[in-house]
Amino acid sequence: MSGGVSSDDSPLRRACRNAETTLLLPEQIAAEIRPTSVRTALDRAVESGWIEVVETPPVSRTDATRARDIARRRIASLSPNKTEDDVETADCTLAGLAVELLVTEQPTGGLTVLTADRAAREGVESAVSALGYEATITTVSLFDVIDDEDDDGLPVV
Amino acid sequence: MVPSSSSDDTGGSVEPRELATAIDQFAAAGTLLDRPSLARVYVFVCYYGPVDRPRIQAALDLPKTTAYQYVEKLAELGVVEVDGGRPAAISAESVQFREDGAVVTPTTLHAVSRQAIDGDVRAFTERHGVGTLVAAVRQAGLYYAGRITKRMAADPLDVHSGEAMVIVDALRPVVAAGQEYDPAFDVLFPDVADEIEFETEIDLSEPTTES
Repeated sequence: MSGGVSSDDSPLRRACRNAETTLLLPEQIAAEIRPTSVRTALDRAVESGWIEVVETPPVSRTDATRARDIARRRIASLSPNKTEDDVETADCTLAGLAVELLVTEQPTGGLTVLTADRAAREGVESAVSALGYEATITTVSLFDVIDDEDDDGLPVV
Repeated sequence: MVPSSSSDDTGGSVEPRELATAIDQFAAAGTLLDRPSLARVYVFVCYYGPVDRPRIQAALDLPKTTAYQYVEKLAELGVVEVDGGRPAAISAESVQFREDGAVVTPTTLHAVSRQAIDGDVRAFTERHGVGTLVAAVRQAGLYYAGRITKRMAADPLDVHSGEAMVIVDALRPVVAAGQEYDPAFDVLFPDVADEIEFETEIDLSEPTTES
């Protein structure tokens, strides 16, 4: 999951409550937002129980590493002047992690990847479709889940 | 900024009037890049003008004297025009300043002006400088065009990935408003201007203090 977590009763929290679901946040993403004030909101969310920070398992199963590689290639292909080396590991690891968790945990309802990042989502979707996991791994835009109405309340100018 | 040379005798002498204009533009761009609140008034006039002083004051929630002083300063810099009406209508030319690959347009100045109202932009600029903030506008545009992930903005800017994600989010209204109102938007994004789109609606109408 990536995207803003800014208040105690945020639209995202309400969406999770309505869906009776907990968000799993990979540890490496939690570490990314540590230097900013968002970390405090993340701490509160973890204390309230609607976000759980999970250790990122090594992406070791064949399908999971393939997913990661497919995502990397797909994201690189979105820009004419970027190569696979330019793609951040965390963006393609998301695809690998989704497959890894699906295979190891086998959640009954399947698994949903939630992110606001369009290009990262395309990476996951490419991998899921190439490996035949469409029935069990869904990608969802953060904005499909919440109403992003002036989430920071600032005027345009 | 390369004033065209009208005489080659001395290897690059410049016609004085051209040099004066170019230097004035250079000074105006430099001043606006350095003064977020002043830049904010300029961007408002550029995007929503012609407007009068009371409208500027109300939309930007400024004290009356501040609004008036800023308009005077912008007129002095030559980036707005004040007509003789009552109330006077203030209008702006779209500033476009180029120097060896560095381009400043209203979108650039809008990003700079966000320091006046957005703590995330302020913190980013304090940490990394206005040059990196301006570079971040380009990266944000590439993200909203679906070409890169937010994290991929970090490396070209030489910032942490978390910071890149925050600034790309914070610059969303700047990219959206620029696409709508900045005649020079294509100069910043010659490759992706038409591909930029947003998953949610952004209200680009003229701000008022009631909104």
